[in-house]
Amino acid sequence: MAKVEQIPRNCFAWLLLALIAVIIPHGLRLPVWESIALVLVLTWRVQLYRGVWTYPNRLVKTVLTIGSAVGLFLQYGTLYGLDPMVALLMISIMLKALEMNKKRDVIVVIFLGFFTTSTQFLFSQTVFAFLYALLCLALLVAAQISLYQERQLSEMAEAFPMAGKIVLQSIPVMLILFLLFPRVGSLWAVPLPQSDATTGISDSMSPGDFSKLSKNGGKAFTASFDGDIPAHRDLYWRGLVLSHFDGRTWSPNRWGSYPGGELVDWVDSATSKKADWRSWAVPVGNPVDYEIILEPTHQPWLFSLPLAELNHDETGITRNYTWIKKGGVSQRFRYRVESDLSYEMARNLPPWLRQLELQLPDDFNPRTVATARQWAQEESSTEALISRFLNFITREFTYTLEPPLLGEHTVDEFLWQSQRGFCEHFASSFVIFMRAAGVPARVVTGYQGGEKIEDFLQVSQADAHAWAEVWIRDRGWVRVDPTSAVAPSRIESGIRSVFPRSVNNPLSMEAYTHISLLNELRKQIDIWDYNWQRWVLNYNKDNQVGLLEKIFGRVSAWHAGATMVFGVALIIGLITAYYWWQTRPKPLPPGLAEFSKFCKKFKNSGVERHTGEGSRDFAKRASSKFPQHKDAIEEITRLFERGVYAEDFEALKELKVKVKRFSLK
Amino acid sequence: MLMLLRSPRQYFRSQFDRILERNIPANNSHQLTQRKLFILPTKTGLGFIFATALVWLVGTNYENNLALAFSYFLLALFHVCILHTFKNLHQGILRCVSASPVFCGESSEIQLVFNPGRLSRQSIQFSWPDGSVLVEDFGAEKEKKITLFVPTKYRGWYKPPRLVVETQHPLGLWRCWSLVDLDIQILTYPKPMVSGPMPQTITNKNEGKLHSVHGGEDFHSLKEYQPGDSLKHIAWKQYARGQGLLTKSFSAYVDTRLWLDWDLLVGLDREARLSRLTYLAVDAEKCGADYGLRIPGIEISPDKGVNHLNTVLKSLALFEFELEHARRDTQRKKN
Repeated sequence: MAKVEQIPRNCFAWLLLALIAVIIPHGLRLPVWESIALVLVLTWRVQLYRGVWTYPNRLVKTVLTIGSAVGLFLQYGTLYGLDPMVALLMISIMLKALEMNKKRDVIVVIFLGFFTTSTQFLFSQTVFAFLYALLCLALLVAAQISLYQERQLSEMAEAFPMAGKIVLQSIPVMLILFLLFPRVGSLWAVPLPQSDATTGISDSMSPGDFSKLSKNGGKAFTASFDGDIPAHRDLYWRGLVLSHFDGRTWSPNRWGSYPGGELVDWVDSATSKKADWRSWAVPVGNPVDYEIILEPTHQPWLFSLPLAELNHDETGITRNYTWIKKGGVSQRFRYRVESDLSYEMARNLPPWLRQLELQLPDDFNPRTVATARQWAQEESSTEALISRFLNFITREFTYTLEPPLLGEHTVDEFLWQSQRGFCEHFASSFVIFMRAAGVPARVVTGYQGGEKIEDFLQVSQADAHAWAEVWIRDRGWVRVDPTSAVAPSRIESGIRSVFPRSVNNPLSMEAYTHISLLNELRKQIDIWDYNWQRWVLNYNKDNQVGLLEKIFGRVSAWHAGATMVFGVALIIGLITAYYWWQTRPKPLPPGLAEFSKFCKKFKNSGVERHTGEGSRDFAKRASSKFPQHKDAIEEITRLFERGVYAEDFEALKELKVKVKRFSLK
Repeated sequence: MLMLLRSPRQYFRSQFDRILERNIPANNSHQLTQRKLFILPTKTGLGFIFATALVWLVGTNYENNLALAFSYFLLALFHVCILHTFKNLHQGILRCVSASPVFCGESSEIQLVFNPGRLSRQSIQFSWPDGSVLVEDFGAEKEKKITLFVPTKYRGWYKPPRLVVETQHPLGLWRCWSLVDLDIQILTYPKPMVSGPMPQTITNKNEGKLHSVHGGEDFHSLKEYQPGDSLKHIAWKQYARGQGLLTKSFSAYVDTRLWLDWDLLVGLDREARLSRLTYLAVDAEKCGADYGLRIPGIEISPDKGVNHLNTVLKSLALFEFELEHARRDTQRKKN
């Protein structure tokens, strides 16, 4: 192998660092066996690099390649999908790295590295993800630089300043391209990230679920309002409605179909047609407009304040007036909502639905059922029944994150024995009580409140909440939150006012709200993240058009293209100018400058001064060619010698004058 | 027009040669100004664009701004590299110091000096087509000597092809290069060709050693007859005396100083004669003999030593070399 083809050792070192950096963010997402395999291959590569082990032969390589592809297929059931494809990418980059022994192989690995780095963004788009990707990029660039540098390992650091310089100089060019490069949108359908590990509120509710969520913490979504943020007690973010109870767990009604129309009314922005039943809910006049950026949950439901209207394709409204997204929320999802906090539903509940909303499992919670029937007879109206129940729990009950475990008759035990619980206990027992009393009721889950940071609202998993909705004749579904009866401050000012240290997950910044420095830092990070989302991640075609309109007043493709090319050229021109300034020739010392000016006057005359020719030799040649100027030539040469060699300033001054006057004509 | 008809490739080649002639005329020293530099993406560069396009597809299909930004970052990197690759050569000064004389077919050692100017430069490659390759780094303001070898193809003042100065620093995405004509003339001796010993020259003066030689005039001695000896030289008198069959041998004064004489190599063409003379000159110098050279129009009297050898070889190298070059040129054009 020729020396030129060999991979320099400094390049190896950079490449190893870059590979590790590229793999880490994906490594946590890969199947465990693959992560282990990657570490083994990496170890092999290091040992190869140290000259301890040898290259794998063809058989080993084939076995590794086929084995890992089959393994991935067995793991995921398909190779078409984002996760298996990324896993495959990781394997191919590592196997390529293992077998590389030529410069060209290194280039392939580096380019694969660029591609792999970009796939990180499909899973995380935070500021940190971007900065981390820049680090990966710098390492890969350093590897690529050192590939052409032929240095020893000890000199590997030499590549980094250059890499940093190039990466930094690329940033302004990148910004211009980012702002102005034409946006074409999705060209074809692509598989989205799938995850079994859903986050946030799940599609069912059992005792203990919500206290667990509250303790874990983590960002759920941010909401930015067009006007003022409504009062904390009005911030009930509806997620999903649970109507079916099996004695322990609440889950949504599993409707196969819904008499009188589709179950979900999907938004169709082209026709903007709405299903008839959507007009049954009448807003009373308390509109709020806001935008939500939902963190990926890998579940379909979207959160919104009551009576929400979304105008986003791929979303739809259910018969419960909650919103869902097609395919689930696998990446951060941004949607605008118009809500009406007060609304009425004047229609009657259809009998079949009424039956569903009164469903109770047989032989569960006998004492609750009996009490409910008795109270229902004693009270004149539904409203009175509700206040009696709320009064009952206000007096006796405790709102706690650490409720005791419950046995078979969860509600009986809770209402008449432990009397300690979290929101799901209150909501669940209230709904069961109401149903037993013959009042249609259901559980609603979602979030309540949120933390106001600057001008936006940050809603955490700690704000997860469950409440109830009760059907009252002529009013429709009315929200009743039994938790507010027990712990009014939970509703008025948030869970932290009740449990300042509710989050006990050591990995969550929310666990350290009591340390003011960390709390401030947490808020600051949230602000960055929010602005990042707002200005960077949400930048789209419309923003681009807006930006161009701001610059030119009107927009055409020609404007955009010209601005982009001009901007890129301008920046590269500036960098060029900087280097030109650095490399400009040093000015000649006085005397020499004049003499060279003098010599230049002989240009195209036949006597040009040769490089290295002495001043006297030149003068002699010049005089013999132009005898009419002999005196002037000799005078100038004499002044030059006096001025430069004897440092005679007067001579220098005179030289300047004489040279200026001198002319061959 | 005729050129165009022959092949577009050749046409562009000749156009490029014309640009080279105009922008980079032969000169002992060259400052690599923008007129003299060319820059184009390498294969790696095209691969990089392909990778960038893939990242862009990810970005646009997932409508993922960060992946898009990343692809623009790569694109920006590609553009910024033009500048860095270019500036790695720009304004460097290249000068030829010396070119060692060699025998035709051997490689001449060429000493160049590269002055990086006020910028430090990395991984600049100097090479001659089918000659040696050298990759060097240069600190700012630090002139450095570069030694290269270029094979010679014909004798005389050999003009090597243009020197290729190129760099792909920093990322190998772009190749910036110049084809520099440093006006190098390599004194190329004829290729030595082994031949028998030089026929010795007979001299009439009484100098040198006595040698028995056919065709000498003075009787020297008698020796036993061997088949093949000329019948004319048989010593019939001695035979008559019964002394057996003897042959008369004659001798002459022979010039021991070797004359490498054009005229003695009968029946050979110019180049063959020069090659043989070259071999004999080197051989004679090795043996420590005095030798002189006689070629049409030039006579160098016998002597020895390195300087003498160089003078002789130079005369051989430059003997009618223009004719030889012209002949080669016409031959090449015919092909």
